[in-house]
Amino acid sequence: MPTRALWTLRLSVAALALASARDAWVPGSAVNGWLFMKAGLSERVAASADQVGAAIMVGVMVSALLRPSRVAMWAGATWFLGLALARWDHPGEAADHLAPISHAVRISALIALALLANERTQSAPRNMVAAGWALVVGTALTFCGHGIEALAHSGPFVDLMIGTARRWTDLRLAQATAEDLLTLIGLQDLLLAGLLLTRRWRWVAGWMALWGLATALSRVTSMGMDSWHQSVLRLANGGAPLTLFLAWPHLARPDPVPLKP
Amino acid sequence: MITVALMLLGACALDDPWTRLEGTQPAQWRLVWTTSPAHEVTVSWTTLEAGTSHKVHVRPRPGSQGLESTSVPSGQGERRAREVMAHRSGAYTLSPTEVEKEAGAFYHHARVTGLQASSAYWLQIESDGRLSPELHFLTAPAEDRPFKMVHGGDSRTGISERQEMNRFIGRLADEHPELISFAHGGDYIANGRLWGHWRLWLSQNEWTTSPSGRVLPMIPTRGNHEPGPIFDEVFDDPGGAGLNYFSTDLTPQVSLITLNTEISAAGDQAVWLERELQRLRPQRRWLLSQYHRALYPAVKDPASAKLHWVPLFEEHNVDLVLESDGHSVKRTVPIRAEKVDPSGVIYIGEGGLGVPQRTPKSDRWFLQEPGMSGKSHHVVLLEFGPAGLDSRILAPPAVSSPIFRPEEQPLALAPDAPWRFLAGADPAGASWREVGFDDSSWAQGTGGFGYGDDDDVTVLDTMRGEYSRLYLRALVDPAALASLEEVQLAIRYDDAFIAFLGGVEVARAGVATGHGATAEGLSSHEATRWELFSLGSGAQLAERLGPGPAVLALEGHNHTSASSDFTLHPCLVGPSRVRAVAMDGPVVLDEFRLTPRDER
Repeated sequence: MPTRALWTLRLSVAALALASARDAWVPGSAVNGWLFMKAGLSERVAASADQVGAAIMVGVMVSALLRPSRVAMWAGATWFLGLALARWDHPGEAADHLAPISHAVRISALIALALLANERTQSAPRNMVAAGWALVVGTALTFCGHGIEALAHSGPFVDLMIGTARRWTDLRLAQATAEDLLTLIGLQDLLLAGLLLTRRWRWVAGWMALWGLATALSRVTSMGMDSWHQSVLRLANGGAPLTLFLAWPHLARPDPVPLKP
Repeated sequence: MITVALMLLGACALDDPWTRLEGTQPAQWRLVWTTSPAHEVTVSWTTLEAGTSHKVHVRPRPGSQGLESTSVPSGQGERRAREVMAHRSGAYTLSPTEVEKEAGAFYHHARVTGLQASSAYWLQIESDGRLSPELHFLTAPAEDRPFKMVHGGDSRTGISERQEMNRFIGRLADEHPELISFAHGGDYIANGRLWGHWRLWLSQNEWTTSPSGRVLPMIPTRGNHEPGPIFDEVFDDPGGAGLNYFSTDLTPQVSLITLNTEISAAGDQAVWLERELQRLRPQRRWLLSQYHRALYPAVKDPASAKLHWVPLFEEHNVDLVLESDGHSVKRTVPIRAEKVDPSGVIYIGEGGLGVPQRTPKSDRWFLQEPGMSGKSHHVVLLEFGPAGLDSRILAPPAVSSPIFRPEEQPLALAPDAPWRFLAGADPAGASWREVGFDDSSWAQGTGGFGYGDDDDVTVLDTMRGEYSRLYLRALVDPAALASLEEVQLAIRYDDAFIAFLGGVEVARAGVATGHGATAEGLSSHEATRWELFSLGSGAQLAERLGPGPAVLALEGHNHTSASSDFTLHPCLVGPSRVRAVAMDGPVVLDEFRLTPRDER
């Protein structure tokens, strides 16, 4: 596993964990919302769950930067799965019904790092293959989810485009124009997802890396540095396909390495 | 026998808390204002079956004085009423998961135009010959005159709490003749794609109709829990299907701009908002806005619309902004350019029509004094006049203020007092409520009884699934009561209780009739806050109880033995810092006055 690729994955996971810890600590997470509003538990219990989640995320961040631990990564993946399911079951945004798809790359990045936590696990071919599949599927699903949102002309996506254009160019982008662009972007995202899953072309992963990073950063380019956590949370959208690109063909070979008898 | 049977059937129908959905019986009525409240209103309602003929009958109340009088003589409405046919009817959209389970229902909208301003109108809805109750409403003024509006948001999952808030709003309509409208900040239900959730909310919304039959026209906002088409089906596309932003000219001097945080905030809506603010500001003494997600939130992160709307609000000097979504109470300091500025914009809210309340992050800079924050179900009552805009945040009677902590009040019986309790059995007779009763066989515990929601001191491990009643006894010193100007029972309870002092029943909640094992009509209730029940003058209570210790006895009821939680936590306190308008009136959580901009 190339060092650059592994570090890309580790930094992506660390970024995810940092932003998620912040979300659990400051406004409260989707798990908090589900426990308090849907399950009817007390605010104290819901807040305690957030404290546990924040602690897990801090552990994941430290582990990802210093020495990846399988236990920490699996715990982190479980937390992100919980967040996605909480959003799906107790939607607070129009697109939350897509949360398990749109957030897939966050879960898969943690699973991949769990599988590649150390040299011993990296040396097992099936771990490399499994990690590759996790990143491929996670990236494709996330691009699918975002593509569907883009085709639906999601209000927040429109605002990201209008906000970025205004902040950086003084151009007042009309909503209709932004929506037309989103249609193209949505089709692109779906196409890329399909190609990554079916064709496994390296350049597709490369383009997805660039696009994922650009869209992650669009939170800051549109709304300013106060929204840093939203960008950091989404760095894996580019980091996961970048890992694939840098680790090609170790992670994404079309034919898996045969297992030893 | 037949007469008795019919009477029993009638009694069952009368016991329904709202109009039953059956056949083409009009139910779930609501009135909607969008742009011209002085001359137009949309009357909306529901029938279970599609029916063929849907209309409303409307006419001015005889001798109508508009805002000066709201009573409607009964039985006079049918003569000379104008008929307005529904312009739109259809089936509420069922989600794929509901198709097999929900019966579905049909919405109808009739747009009544050509109304006179400042007038009371009698109204009755008819579908295929079946009639709604007689209702009435007021139109908005066409001249500059004082009036009131109530605002609230986030009813959502607090099923019994939102019913209480609806009743409260209905009472306000009768108590305040100048109250003309109810602006709802969104999040009516938990999942706006489910007709089942809307069905219950719409039925409970009938409780906002006052006891005299007065309906407050709503100015509805779309919240983040109302994705999908049903919001527009319920309110007849306010501001346009899927758009849901519009401005309402309440008087020639007051406008309310309703925005939609669930679509693009920076696109067409921002363009429209800028244009409206430019048009309205020079013409209006009071310019307000409402939307769902808070830009200066007490709990969550700011909505992304903040970047696009706050500059416009500040540029055009909006007076007051009404926010929801946070499930708390707040009023910000006046804000301009992210700083306290007396000429700035005040944001008030933040969603308390029944949803479980959250603890605000009261250390946020914009919630410091003269701002405030708290945690209570509430509405905002706004009174618009030429000299000022008065805002009061009100909680219903017997609801504690967000700052209420019993240990900070004068105490006659502390929250952590020792109690004798009987669990898993019912005491014989009523003698257990008296001081002479031998309770030596009862268990002992510290106040705060219950299970299931991690807020109990004496945990009843075996209650769930086994029994649903708990009996408590504690000794009270009448001399301690005598020292209090007013004695209040402060209590957290889930689901119901009856309290006795000196053997006499002094308070009950959630139990319609009976006691103990014969209690009937139990309601569900969440113990989200301390609630206050006034027991009267301390001196008078002490006189009745006489010298020597007295007993405060309570029986607590769970709605069912299988309930996931139970709470019974009583204490006795004196007058609290919370001010009530009257002994049994609403609790004022906050009040302030804005002067017109040119005077600030």
